[in-house]
Amino acid sequence: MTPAFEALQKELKRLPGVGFRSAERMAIHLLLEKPEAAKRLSDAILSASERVRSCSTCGNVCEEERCSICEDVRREESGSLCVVEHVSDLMAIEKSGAYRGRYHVLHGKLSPINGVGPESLNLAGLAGRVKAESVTEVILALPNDVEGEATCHYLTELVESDSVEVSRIGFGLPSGASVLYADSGTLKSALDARQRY
Amino acid sequence: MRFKTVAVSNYRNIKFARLDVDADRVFFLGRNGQGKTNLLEATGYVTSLRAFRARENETLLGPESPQAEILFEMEHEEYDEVEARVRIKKKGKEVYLDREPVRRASDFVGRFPAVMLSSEDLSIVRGSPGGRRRFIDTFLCGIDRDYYVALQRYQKCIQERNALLKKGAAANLMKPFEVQMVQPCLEVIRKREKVIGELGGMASRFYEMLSGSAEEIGMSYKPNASPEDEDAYWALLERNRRRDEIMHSTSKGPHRDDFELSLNGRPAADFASDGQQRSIALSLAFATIAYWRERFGVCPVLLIDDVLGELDPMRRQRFWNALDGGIQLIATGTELPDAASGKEWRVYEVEKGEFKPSAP
Repeated sequence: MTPAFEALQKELKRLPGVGFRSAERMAIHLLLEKPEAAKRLSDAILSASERVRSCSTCGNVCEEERCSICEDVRREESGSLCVVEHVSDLMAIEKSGAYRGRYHVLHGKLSPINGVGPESLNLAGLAGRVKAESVTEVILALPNDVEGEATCHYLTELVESDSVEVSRIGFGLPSGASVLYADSGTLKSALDARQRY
Repeated sequence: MRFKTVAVSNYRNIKFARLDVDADRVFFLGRNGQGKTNLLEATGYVTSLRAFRARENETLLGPESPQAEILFEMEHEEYDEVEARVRIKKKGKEVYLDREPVRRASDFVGRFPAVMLSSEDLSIVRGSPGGRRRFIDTFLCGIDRDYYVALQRYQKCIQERNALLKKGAAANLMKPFEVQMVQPCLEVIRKREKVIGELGGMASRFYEMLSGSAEEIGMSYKPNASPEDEDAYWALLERNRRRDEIMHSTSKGPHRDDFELSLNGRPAADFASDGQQRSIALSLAFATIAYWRERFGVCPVLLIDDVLGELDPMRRQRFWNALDGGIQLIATGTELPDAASGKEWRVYEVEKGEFKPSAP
């Protein structure tokens, strides 16, 4: 391969979820098969990286100071604030339409082994937000692995008060799934989180 | 259970081999370094998804091969005819059971028990505490999924806590991990204590059969700390906090546990002869087999790497006498196997990673 080709492939491989083969395929696609796409893609990247930023309030993607969710006053009515690890988690919840409150994106979870402490997370404004926006419930929508649990614990200490309740999303069977095919860990949390019917 | 077919590709020095092992006694015969143990190791992989001689996946991959694959066709008391396939990559592995992907290792580990006997067994008596912990953890993880989950959680939390101790982090950063250590810690200690007692009792049954002498062997849990409840665990953490901060690691807890094997009440590592230690290690292996049989109605497969040849004729005879009749046995060696086993051996000759059925 040529040096320029390899340089591109190397950069593509750095992207999350992209391995050596995918990077190679993308590079061939962009350089040989669809050269017109290369210009479009690089323009899109440049223009997006100039305009898109992180919402100063919640950490979501936006092009202004604040994202459309934070600007939406109706979102404040519910009094709830949903804490997620990544913007993609926020997007997934939004798409479901099941939640109409505000969000706070941490951009990670506590993991000392990987050098991630509270200072590396988007935590600076959180406690202030909970007060200023008169939040009554903080919903933790974080994964239930060791780091997720630790982050939940840390956040609870940080925001819980007489006027603020902290809750955690449930873990259990996916909708429409049968008990038969669930793995044992999922079944255990589903049973632990059972509700009166 | 019983292996019917074992097939491997690009596993260490074996490019490809597919062996019909549907027999009570199977033997891989060959000179040293030909790949006998490699296939035996691959066969044992099905039990805990770990190779008994390797820590890193990479060492298992054949030269210039990005992945190794092992296929097992088995007959199992509970699952009947079943096929498992493991694909080992540099980082991570994929497991399929009857062609369905297995998403969590904890759903697979321990379903297909095989017990390995090798020259490293003696280290259970005189090796490091780490080796003994590995033995008891491997066994417990195989028979108890909750233990597996608890142990993983505990170990992860210890790593995270130690990382914080190294940085000199404040207590409020450690608490979120400490909170998660309490229950797993108590569970690990409770279950280790119970199973060590049970295995010890079973092992002494076999010791007499295997050694021909009526000495008493014992197995006793030596917990590094034994908090009885949550409060006691928190007190333990607090008592050692200052020390942990200075040492940059968590000093007390089941990650430092040990157990001791004794002969007539004295530590076997110091007082037992070489032969006695060997018999103790064998008894322990027989005890794990008996445990599976009696508690779960599943008979493990016995994998024997080269050690039959090391037993003197007397001990070997006792070995065959003590062995459970229905068990499948797969062994390796440089010389033809023992005729005293009472059953016909199916022999494969091994050379440079290739396996050929031996003409009878």
